[in-house]
Amino acid sequence: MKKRLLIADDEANIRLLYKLAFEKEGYDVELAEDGLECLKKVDSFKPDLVILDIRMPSIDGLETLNQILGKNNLIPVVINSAYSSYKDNFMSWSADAYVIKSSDLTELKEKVKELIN
Amino acid sequence: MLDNKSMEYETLLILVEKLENDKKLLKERIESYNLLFDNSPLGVLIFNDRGNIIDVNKNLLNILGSNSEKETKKINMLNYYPFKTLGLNNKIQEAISTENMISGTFFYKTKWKKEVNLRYTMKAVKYRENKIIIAIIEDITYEKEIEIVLHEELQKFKKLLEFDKFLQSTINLDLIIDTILVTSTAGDGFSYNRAFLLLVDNSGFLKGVSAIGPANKQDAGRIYQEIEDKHFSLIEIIDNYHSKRENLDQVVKSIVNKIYIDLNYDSFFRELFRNQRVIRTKEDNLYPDLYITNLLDNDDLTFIPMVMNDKPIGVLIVDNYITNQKIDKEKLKLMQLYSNRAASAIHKAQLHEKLNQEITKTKSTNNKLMEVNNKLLQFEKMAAIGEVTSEIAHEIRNPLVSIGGFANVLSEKLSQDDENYELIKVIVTETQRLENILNNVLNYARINNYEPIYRPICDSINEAIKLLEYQKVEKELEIVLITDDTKIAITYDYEKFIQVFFNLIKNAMQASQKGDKIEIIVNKIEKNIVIRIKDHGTGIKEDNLDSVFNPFFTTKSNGIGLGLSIVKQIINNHNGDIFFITEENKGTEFIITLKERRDS
Repeated sequence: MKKRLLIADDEANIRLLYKLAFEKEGYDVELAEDGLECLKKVDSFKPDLVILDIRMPSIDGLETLNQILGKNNLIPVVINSAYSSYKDNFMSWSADAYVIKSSDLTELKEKVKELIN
Repeated sequence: MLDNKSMEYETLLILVEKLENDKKLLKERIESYNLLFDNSPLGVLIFNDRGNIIDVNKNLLNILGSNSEKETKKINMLNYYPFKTLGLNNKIQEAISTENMISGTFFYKTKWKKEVNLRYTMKAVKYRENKIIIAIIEDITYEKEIEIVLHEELQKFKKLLEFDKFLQSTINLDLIIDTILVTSTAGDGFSYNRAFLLLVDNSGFLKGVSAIGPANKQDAGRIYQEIEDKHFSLIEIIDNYHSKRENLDQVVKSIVNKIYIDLNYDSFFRELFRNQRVIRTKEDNLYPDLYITNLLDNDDLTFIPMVMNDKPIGVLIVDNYITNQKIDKEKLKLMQLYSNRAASAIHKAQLHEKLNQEITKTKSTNNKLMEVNNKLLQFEKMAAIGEVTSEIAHEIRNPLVSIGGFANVLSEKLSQDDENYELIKVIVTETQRLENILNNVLNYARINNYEPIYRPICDSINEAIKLLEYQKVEKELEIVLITDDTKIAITYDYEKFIQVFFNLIKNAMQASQKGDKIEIIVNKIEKNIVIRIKDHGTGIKEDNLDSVFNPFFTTKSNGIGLGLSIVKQIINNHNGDIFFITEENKGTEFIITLKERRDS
């Protein structure tokens, strides 16, 4: 059974990249364009792990994280942001990992692998 | 006829009577003249134009110290040898020929070798066919003595006025102090052996400030001999002393520096100021604390209070430590007058100094305010930059992640033999380079987070050199770390300082020519650690000197210019400083100073 990965990012190209990269790693990947869609898909798709961008329209990544934790605090969440500054935000401490965006996906892939098993 | 005869007789009788009467009158007159002549306080001498003495009065004999009128009368006024040597014979001739009143003074040694100063007044008068000369001689020795004393006193006052003029003409406190001390001790001044000056400080303590005088008898001889040999004027001595003041009279200066008196508790000095009168310990039987007499190694001291409008300014202590001569009371009066003038000069200088201090204080407060203001502006600029850069970074990073990410995906799909493999790899590495620049920018926004650690400063320098090894070899550069002690350590952010040294050494390398040498010198100077990074490269252009540390300033085609502004920010946040010396085509030296500290 394939592990299910929900990826929320407002940038279409990023979503496409992540879909390609993680499907290649053997995950079942679902995408969300913003925080609201992400929350809906947490219920419908029932992912094993969520990758969250922080800066998104509607509700941002941190608020989304907050609500996911309110629904089910067992799902691991990886924050994946272009900002390193949110690392110091206490809200992001409740995420399971914080990976800064990079074209080199090695670190992100490793964190996902580590948390999902 | 008888009648006639008797008449004649009567007339004769009357005439005789008259003559008797005249004779009596004449006798009385002569007696009174003689009385006057003999008892006159003046010496009277009558001689003829051949120089033979006709008469002398008693007082003349007294004046000349003679006890024999007879012997004295044997003197010929024109030939008497002692008078001749004084040129008095010529004066007599002049009196005789002109019949004018002639006067003058001369010194005359009497029989008992007592020298007297005499004034003479003489006039020739006709007497029958000859002339006689009447001379009056006065002993003016005492009068002259008084005159000399008065003259000396006048000179002293004149000198005092001169010192005073000199004193009042300056506001240099040290010079005033030296003037007082030199005047107190110089032979031309008050010529005491030693002088110690104490001044009342701001907190009301009487504090020894300076002293003058020999440490022992040998020293005394040397100094005075030196001064007398060179015939300096007092002002010259003061100037000379003032220019060498640090090296002179070390012994007495070290003594005076130990004096520190609380006027609230010391009754001797308090009374000195209250009475404003000089105290001579022995004569007045008033002594200061034993501590003072022991320190000065003398209990025969003279204390002169220096007061300005009843306000205590200081105390001058003088003594004759070497000669043990008694302190002259009259001279002391002058000294006190002088010291009060000195007090006024000191007071003036102190006021001036205070005023200057106030001005400097105001100035430095102003400067500090400006500094803080500039820092604030810099911080605001930084904060703004932080915000903007983080925003831009976010916007740029997303497309970069897509470009690089897809290139990665593509490269994984291609075999390493594929002709496009290398091309795609270029996209991957160049994207990574851009991302690194972004990391730098984001670091800039985040450099206020510190992780201090106590560690040798050379560790971070060596680490930075290691990171630049590749470029060093490529450019055939030599990098040397010079230090007395590689263990010099402080509490600092090790990682951030690797960044600091990395940036500075990299800049130095870029400015260097192939084969150049870069020196990194680490020294501990007092409580500061000084690190100098020195290259022999192109130097910084004059136009750019002010902008070197500005964010986004760069002269390089491939940089964005945050390097040195990050460096400065990190160093400033460690309470350190960085500046540089540069010369075009000679090289640049960056100098970092850090306070040595160890945080627990």
